[in-house]
Amino acid sequence: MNKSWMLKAGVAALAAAGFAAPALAGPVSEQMLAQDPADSWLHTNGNWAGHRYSTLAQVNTRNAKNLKVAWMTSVGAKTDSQATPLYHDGLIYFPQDNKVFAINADNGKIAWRYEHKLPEDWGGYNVPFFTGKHRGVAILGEYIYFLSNDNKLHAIQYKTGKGAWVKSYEQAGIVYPKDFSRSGDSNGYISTVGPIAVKGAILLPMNGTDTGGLEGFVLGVSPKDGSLLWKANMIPRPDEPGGDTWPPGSTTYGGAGPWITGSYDPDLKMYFTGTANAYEWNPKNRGGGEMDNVGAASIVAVNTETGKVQWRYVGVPGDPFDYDIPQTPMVITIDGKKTLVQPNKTGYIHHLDARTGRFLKADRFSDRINWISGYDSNGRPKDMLALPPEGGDPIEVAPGLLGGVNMYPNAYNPNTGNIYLAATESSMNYGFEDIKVISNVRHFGAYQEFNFGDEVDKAVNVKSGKEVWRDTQAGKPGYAGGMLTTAGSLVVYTTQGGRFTVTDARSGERLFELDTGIAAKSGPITFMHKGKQMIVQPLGGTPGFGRDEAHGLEFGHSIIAFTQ
Amino acid sequence: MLCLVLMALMGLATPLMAEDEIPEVNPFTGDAKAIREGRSWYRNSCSPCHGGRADGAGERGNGADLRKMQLGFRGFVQLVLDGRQIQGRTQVMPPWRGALKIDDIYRIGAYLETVAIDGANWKEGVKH
Repeated sequence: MNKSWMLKAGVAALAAAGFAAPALAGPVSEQMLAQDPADSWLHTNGNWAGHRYSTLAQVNTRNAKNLKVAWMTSVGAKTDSQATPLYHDGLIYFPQDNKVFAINADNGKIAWRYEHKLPEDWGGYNVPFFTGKHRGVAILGEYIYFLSNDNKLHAIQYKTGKGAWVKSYEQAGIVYPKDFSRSGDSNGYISTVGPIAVKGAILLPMNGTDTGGLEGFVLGVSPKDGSLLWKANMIPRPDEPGGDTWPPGSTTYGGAGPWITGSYDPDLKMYFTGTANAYEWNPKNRGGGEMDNVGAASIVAVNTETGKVQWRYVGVPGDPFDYDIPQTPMVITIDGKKTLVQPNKTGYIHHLDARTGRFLKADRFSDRINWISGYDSNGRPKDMLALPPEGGDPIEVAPGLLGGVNMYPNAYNPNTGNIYLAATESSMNYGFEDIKVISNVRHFGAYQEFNFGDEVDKAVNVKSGKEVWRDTQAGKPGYAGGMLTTAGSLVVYTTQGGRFTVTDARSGERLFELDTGIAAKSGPITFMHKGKQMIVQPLGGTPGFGRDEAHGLEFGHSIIAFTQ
Repeated sequence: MLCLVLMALMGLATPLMAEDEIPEVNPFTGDAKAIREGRSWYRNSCSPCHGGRADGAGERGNGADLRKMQLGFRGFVQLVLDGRQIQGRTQVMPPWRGALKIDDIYRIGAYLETVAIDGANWKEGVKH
């Protein structure tokens, strides 16, 4: 046994015992951000690669049955709680309702609260629905970075909650949506997605898609003062590849906003993000479904040093079904190749070469798919459904526009080789109408009637694409709030119906469960606090999508911490 | 009032009708063209929250089940104009005054009458 091997074995043993990294307190360095989560949870998606995998193993398949509630708390949420929290240095950071809360991991008490007030003329198409929702914050140095709904970046001292600075990007064209009964120009961007801290920059996804269709961007800004470093357009300009897949003039309101935090590869210096649907939903102004509308319903790679888009892959050409593919593309090395793996609304798990964007394969994970028969070797859909006529009868489309998976995060465990999906079975009756306009806000020109199926939480082997296990919530529509997986060989999630669940990552056997009575809309995290591994699950929101009879639950909110 | 009802029956409701003159009954009830237009407005502006079936199953949260509307026609119009707060919640029914034309609100109502189920009282104004 040589010394190098002994050292590795020792590190592995420490990792298995939950001591993968030293207990790092104090300001967060880029080096800390580059690690897989251990003591702290520093990224919305756990690590830059988007795995939601913790190296902790103090809680594991042998002892998960001993979990107990450590504390419960509330931040008084007034809408869905969608954020995955962060944890660092004794505090849990959680954005809700245009506030950020720091919660003491000892007891669940609120250590500090930071509040932002939205502008007086805030409003517009679909805006009441989005208001107050947030899907994460970032941390770097001494600051929590928070994007309020009106697209302002707030740097907040992580220990005290004191605001250091606030930066608006209106001068870069990132305006907020306005009450369309009082404004002649009501289109705007709403930030519900959180920022991500990468080497040298904070990245801000900017989405205005379903509030009127302003085109999507990713902004790179300075961590020091929020000043703009670059602005990457999701929709290609006419002289870029794919620029000819939009009719002239159709991109201004073309949508394609990024609305889920993406992934980052420090070696390739690329940020990978999925994008929203093309706008309007009715495709008649953007090629009628016959033009690809590259950049919308796409995966886009951005060089994080220059802001230059490296490549775009369109997963739903001409997206006529509001599928969009915004999900986090996970960076996974498969057979020595850095691969982007993205389970998305289409019902497939897309595999792309991370460096080039070349399509590798698409593994089907939804039971029922009728919008296409599959993807060809070039990554183009085969046998896409014929579109219904405007004003005519709707057609059934499966999956429905809520998707095989939606915004509720998935996870990847490098030990099992499985990805864990917060999936559902559903379809929709989908039809087109003429496109109405209020103020200058173009509406969808389309509508859907949902046909809900069961929530299906499942494990799929990433390499083979084969399902390993599933946990079906029979008769219960919706999605789990999000998946977490650990080196303790666990998968943790809470069903839409509020059942906090810990399973064996390999078999799917349920090891621990607690019926919380509150719907879950966010992913859990895990971290080490004072020598004990804790799991924190935010809960809250209205169960299902408007029909809560199946769950028998009302709107609620709580944050629950578990430990042994 | 009788005059308004007669105008409504004759399909002569004016698009410039003031909001404080909301008729007791919907001037577009049963008007196929108005229902078609109302459906289009409904599907663009209302269905995101209230669902394509008007049953409250919208992608944008759970709006009220409009098939069971029990506000009567005037109550419906007034609520659309003024909006509605939901205690303890951020999500609201936004006020559509100044955004939707009053006749288009009537047309939306005429469409919703066609999907009403037991318990709805769209026709309440007729009794007076």
